[in-house]
Amino acid sequence: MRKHIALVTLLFCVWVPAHVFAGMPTDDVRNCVNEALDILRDPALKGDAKKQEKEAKIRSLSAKMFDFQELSKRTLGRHWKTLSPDQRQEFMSLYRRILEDAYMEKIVAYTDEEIVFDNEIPLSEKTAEVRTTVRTKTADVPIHYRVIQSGGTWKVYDVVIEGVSLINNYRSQFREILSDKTPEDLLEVMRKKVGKA
Amino acid sequence: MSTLRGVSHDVVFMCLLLQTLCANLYISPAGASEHAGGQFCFVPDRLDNRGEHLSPGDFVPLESSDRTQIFGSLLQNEGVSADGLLIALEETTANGAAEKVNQKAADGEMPTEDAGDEYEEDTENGQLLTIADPLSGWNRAMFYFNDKFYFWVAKPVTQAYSAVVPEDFRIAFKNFHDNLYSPVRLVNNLLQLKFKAAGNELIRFVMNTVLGAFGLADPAKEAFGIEAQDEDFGQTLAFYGVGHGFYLVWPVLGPSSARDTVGFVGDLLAYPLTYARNEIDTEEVLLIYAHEKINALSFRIGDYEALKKAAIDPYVAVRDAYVQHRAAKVKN
Repeated sequence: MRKHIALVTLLFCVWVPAHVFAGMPTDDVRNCVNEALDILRDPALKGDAKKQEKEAKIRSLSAKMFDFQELSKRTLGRHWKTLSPDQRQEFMSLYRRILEDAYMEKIVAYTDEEIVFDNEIPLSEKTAEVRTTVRTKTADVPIHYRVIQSGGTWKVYDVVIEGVSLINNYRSQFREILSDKTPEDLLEVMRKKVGKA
Repeated sequence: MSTLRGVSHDVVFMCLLLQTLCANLYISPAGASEHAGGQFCFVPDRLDNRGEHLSPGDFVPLESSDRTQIFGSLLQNEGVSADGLLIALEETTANGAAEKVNQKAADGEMPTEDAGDEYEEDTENGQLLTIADPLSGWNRAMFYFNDKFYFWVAKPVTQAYSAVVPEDFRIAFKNFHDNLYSPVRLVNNLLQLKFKAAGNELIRFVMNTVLGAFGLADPAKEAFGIEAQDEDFGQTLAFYGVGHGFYLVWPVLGPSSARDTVGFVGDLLAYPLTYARNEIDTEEVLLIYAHEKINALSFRIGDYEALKKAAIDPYVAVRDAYVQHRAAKVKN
């Protein structure tokens, strides 16, 4: 009997996947969302004068919350490997800029919707989906964060809003460009986009 | 409202991408999550709660839940819950398979070198829903037209409207318009064999029309937690296996497809005002329709702008968002 217990214990130790020690996906997402809300609601950061400071804080939070490499990889799919290491780096930083620029205004103008954490669904050993609902006055908007375990925490690699996956949306756009253009052309398009923004 | 969305989303609809205030969709995430999370989502195999094997697309009737709200157990929206489970299962397996391969790739020397291929194969987060676009010339022209229409007409009109009409009134109007589509949802829930959702819709329609002053208020949801399950004829066609056909952008009405255009027209048969021609003339119906759209838009000004700003190719971004969004609704 004791042998069995020892064996079971041993097996348990071996089998317990690493993510058990990494905390729960929902907790990590919730912490980041709450941190964002704190920044957005901070009375000390109100007003136009503090807008830059606020944006800087949100930007540094986004680095903590998102896994931009995973996000980039999954967005480009099979095209990822056609990029050189330098191109990948540049792609990642441009992509991040585009996302931050586009959504910053919306985020900073954030009002006071209630965010409800519904549940979380394991997608694989290393990934999970954290399901939330944003309650506005006229609708409940389902927002699902797909997270991947990365260095002891869970980081977001996709946001699915009302069924629309962010990375798949960009993926179809990039794919259209890459179907008849080179990665360098794509980067040029993105550089222009960032320069304009 | 949502029923006519198949076609009628104005350009703005697409801003579904945004983390914000968008959408007037009838999904019941709370109900869905109770099931998907509590009962099912950790089931590793494709088994339902009676131990039967499932495959994607199976219709799974659920047991009544332990919701304690008044009427809750009677009126729980079954369709959403069952689909929540299926989605969960599909995602679990699809990603599971892909992740395993990715894991293998990650074990090798060049962790990211081959991973890309697997994302392409991955049927859930990697699945790229596509749509045929043989009329892209027309569609792009209409997209351009709708873009201008939004900035030159729809947006300024809506802003003026918002300035005059207080938010509480606009919410009431929105409820009113939503209630008019209740019969459409009812019929389509029935056609999709979602009987509980259909029952909910019937109760909602009666309750909101009578107690809610012709739908201006939504007591069914506010007091009894009965949520609408948004179904339209485009989704019903999809339920029976009809594909999009091809992408089709209508002027003013916005993105649609061959299938959803048929759905849009079909839904008019269940739309009450279709049968009120003796009382009101066509012009008035159009006015009501315009009001519905402007009123709905008043809650989502800024969404389209942000979407456009975020997109590398706005036309492709909107087309993809349309396809993804419709696919998600069909699943529900």
